[in-house]
Amino acid sequence: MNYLLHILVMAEIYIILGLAMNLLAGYSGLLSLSQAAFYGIGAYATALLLVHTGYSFPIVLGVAVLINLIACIPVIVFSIRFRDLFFVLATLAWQVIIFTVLYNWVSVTNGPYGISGIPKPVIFGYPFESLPQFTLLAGALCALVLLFFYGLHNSPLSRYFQGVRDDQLVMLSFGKNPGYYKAIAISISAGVSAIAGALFASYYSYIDPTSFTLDESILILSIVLIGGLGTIRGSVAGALFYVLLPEVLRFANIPDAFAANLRMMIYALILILMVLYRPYGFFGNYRFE
Amino acid sequence: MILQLLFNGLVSGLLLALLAVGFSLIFNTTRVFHISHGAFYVGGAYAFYAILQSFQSQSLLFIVLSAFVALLIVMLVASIIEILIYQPLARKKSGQGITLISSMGVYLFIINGIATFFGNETKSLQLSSGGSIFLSNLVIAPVQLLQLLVSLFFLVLVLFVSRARWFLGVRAMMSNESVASVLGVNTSLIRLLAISFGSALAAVAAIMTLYDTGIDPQGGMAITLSAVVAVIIGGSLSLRGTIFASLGIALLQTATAWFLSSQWKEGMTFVLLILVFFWRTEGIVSYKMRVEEQ
Amino acid sequence: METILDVRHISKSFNGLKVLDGADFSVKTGTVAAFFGENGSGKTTLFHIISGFLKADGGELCYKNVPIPHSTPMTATRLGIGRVWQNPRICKNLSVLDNLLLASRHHPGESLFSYIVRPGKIVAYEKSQKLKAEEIAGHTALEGKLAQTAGELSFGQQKLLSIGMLLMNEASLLLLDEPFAGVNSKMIDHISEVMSTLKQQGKTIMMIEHNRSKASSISDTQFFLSKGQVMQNDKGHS
Repeated sequence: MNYLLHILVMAEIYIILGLAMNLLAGYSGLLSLSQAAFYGIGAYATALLLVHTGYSFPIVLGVAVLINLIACIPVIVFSIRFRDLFFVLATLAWQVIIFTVLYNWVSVTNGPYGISGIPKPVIFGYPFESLPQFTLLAGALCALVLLFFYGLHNSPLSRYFQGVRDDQLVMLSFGKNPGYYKAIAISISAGVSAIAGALFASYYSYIDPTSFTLDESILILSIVLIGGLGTIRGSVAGALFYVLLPEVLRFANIPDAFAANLRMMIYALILILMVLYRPYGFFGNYRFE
Repeated sequence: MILQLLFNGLVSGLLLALLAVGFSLIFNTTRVFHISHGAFYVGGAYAFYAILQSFQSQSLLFIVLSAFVALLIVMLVASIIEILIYQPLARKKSGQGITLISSMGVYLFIINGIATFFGNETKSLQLSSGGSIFLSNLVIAPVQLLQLLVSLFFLVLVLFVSRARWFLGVRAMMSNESVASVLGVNTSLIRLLAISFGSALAAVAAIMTLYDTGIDPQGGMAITLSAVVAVIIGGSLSLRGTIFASLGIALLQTATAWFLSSQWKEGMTFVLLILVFFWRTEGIVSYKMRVEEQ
Repeated sequence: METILDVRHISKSFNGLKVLDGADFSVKTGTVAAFFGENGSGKTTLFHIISGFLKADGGELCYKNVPIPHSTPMTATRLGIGRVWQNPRICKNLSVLDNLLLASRHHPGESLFSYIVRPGKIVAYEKSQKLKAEEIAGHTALEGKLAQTAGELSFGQQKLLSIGMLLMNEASLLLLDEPFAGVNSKMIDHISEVMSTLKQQGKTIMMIEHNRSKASSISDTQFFLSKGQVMQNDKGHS
């Protein structure tokens, strides 16, 4: 039972990350490789505040989101100044820079040794200590995020994001500034990723920079690609697929030492096959040209 | 001390140049942002390692033999990737985003494959021959001498080849693939040769690094990205520019490692990249340019 | 009749090549003006400049007798100058309805703050704009196609959609770049009808066209571009 709940928590975290990534890649056409950096900053901000200050989880979460809103400003600038491949590379660079900071700013982040002893969330005096309680909290946050993105999808903003993706000249022709909507999309995406980071930090009680590398960014991108770009279903499906894949391997009795790498091999293969033969992924309504 | 720093930087720079030139060759001919270059780098080292270990002796003969076979394997796998993945995508006229993603998939597949078979720890080998050479203030380790000579050999080879007449076909392809194809240049063959040879260069660099600081499955991405920065700064169409940029970046990294810490060097390389992007006008997305492209 | 657009001594060069060299003309409100000229004579460049996508090297533009220096696409749109591109530019992955709604002017949903302070206004505006979109779809032979993905429309339908988007945006001066190119005769008639309707509504149309006969028959004034300058030919002489 505990194991099932663990999987549920991981799924909830990755659904949140997937939705954030989808807003950029699926709706706005922004292939950002910085998502793990925002995930990481969210996790570190949460961890540091929970460990070193007495603030409660909701406040800490708010601060983590705010920090990400500031940290994503360079990405906003990149999205306006650079096009296509240059944008992707710039976000890649930003990801590595953030990772380098997390890894080397030992006085603040404790570098490679990570931060341990992160307490479980306490909201209005109610602690979420046990696994079932935490799963509930994660689930509630995940549901809120889903609701938010559902609302976003049905709002006029969704049109403007997609306009940025489909044809920026059209946007300009009708008086809509693409840069403004890129800024909104990137900010929302970074802020939401902080929520996932906060959950990750308080779930594992220990974090280190190696969870927030470029590989993780690539993974988050793959999740929404395989699940399908442009739809909420796609992001959810992609996250579930990623989290449940190792369980399938478990049936084949692969020894644990190999399991993690083998899982990634299979995942990578599926990614390649999707790109070649099913670019819409499982439930996507948009594909990169 | 500065001399040592310069020398170390030079040697790493030459290794980096091999990777950068390889990447540049592949990118210019296939137009694919071949981020899985790092996988072939790592793969080459591991193939070499595995083959060498299978022999009883580690004499020079077997080293060269293993290297030869390892390069063949790398070239074969690279060709397979080109035929199965990059060419079909090119035929579908896929954009940069999609081919980049496919290359990421290839990277993840190969790196995790290597990790599955060989584990995640660093592998390294020792050169059996000789001691260091001491030259006034300079210490040249035997492996550095090897790296220096081999890299120079290959770089000079590439520079020489790029001036050959038949290379004109490759150049034509780099500027305009459809025109070259109409003119009878065999673009598929050139793509294959480019990706094979480019990957082989990476593998050579990796094998030599194996004898130095060692190779682990995760190490490919970092050095590939540095090579990419070199290609972008040096100008992807200029081989000499790429080589000089590689030397410059390696020097910057060596200096950073020396004076700050070796962990910051990656970050520095990317700060440099972003600065270069801001400085270059090509990166600007001004709609004016788009309009003129109508 | 008033003048809606005054073009005075507009010049533009690209890489040393002078494409426009002192173009001078006026367009009267509520008329259809056709622009002819060989390829490369600067017609599209002229449209780019008027719609704010390019800056002229010299000269002046006056819109409704007000000079408009330094115009950008955003400012031109705000003034009511709208344009359609030679190859229709629409959002291929959005539905026809979404494309039309995207074009609507001053939608409160455009600004992030509206969602926080006055969400009700957004809902109301959406409703009214949807009705307007349906009406415009009716005018542009796209009724019943509102839910269809714009990328699936035929070339001619996409052209009509882009004109429809101009209408949603309440443009007063419409710049149409080759509206009759690449479409069959039935579509040509559709588009002519739309243009007549627009003219009846008091809109001004400037169009670049190579189909001289068609363009001449529906236009009030004709201009020729040659050697970077614009010469007028009144309808009586066609």
